[in-house]
Amino acid sequence: MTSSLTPPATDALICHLLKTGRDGCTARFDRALFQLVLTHDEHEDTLDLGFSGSRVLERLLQVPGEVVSREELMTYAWEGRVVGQGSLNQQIYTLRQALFDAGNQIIQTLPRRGYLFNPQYLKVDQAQPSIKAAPLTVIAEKHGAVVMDLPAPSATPKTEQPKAARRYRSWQSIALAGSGMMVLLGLATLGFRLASSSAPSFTQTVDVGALEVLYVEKSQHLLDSLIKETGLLVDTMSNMSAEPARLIVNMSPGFYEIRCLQGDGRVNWLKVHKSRVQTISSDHLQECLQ
Amino acid sequence: MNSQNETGAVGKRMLRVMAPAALLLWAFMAMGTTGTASSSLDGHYSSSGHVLLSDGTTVKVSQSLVFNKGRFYSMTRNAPAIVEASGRLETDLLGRASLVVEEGQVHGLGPKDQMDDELVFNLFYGSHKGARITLEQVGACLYGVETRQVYCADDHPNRG
Repeated sequence: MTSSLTPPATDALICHLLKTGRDGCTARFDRALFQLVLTHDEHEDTLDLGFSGSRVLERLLQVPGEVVSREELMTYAWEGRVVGQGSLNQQIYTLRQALFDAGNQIIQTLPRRGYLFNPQYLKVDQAQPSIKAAPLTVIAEKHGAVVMDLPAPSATPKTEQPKAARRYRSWQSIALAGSGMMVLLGLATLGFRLASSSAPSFTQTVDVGALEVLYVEKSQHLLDSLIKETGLLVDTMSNMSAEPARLIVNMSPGFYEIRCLQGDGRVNWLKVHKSRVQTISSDHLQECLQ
Repeated sequence: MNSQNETGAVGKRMLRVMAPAALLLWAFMAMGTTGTASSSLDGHYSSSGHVLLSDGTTVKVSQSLVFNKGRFYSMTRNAPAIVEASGRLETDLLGRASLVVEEGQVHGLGPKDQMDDELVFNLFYGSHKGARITLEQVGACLYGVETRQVYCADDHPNRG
């Protein structure tokens, strides 16, 4: 069989092996015999497509992923003949049936534009080692099936990528970037929370008589001031207490805070204005210790 | 085509890992800010102490706090003022609890009352909607860092 239309090199992305809509079932398109050979579980079924059906599929496979108008398909499949639109519809329907294309995913209809063959359903023949060595050459197999090998990946310009595949990859890239951003944002928020929740504090424990005093402040400078300014008060409390006791002393705006930890876990507390730290009555100190 | 397919397959595999990882991370973050982990604090807490004011007078202060199912209700009697507040209890990723005030009111505080500004500020802060009070463990008690208040568990097991 001869073809009146020799596809240009850039449009010649045809593979003789096709995936079908049924799992594990592949199809080999035999252009010379106008046949589709379906292979499933090492069992082969041959379907006759007829001349027109074969030419329709052949034209779609010349430019997988690109739209072929109805007019062009009709000219190619019924060359020199006048046929109605229904003939093309019938051939497309037959091809979809043959390829188990129930969802119109393999041969896709683009309303008012035409049809395209989904390149994701092209199957590269792995048994052809010469593919890379001789790109864009036509090889006749022993059964006459058309094999137009794929160009080497490095030689394929990006503009030749099928539109559907490019759309899918761009969607995948966006989803991947979005997920990556979400992970990074989550990690940053987590780090910020962990960093902000750990308020560093300066502490110093001093034994004064029977008392164990823990001083807590936000900086070493404030800690030194606190120990110095509350020295007399703590000494007074130490003289009052014969029993071992624990105190926590810190500063709050305007006040010194003394917390006396009791053996049962309770805390007695006392707040003393900074201007009154030298004049506090021993009753209040005693009350805190008890 | 093969290298493109491989790239697509790698991208798909990465997406399968990244998307659930992002979801899990954010779910973990969301769990860290809810009150579900804070039910272990449920109970009644209180304390009382004295404040020696700048004018030399001493004021007795008593504080009560109740936690129930991730919410809190508090009352502070700082004679002559009484402050009440309620809101939710939150725990962060490190298990540190904090009170988030949703409602609060100050009663009985007049302009003539002789109370130091720092104490008045703490009272108002603890009643202001949206205020966050970080709680720290001190013995068997909780210490409100921002309001300088101490709350001790009334039913502590070591109590005699």
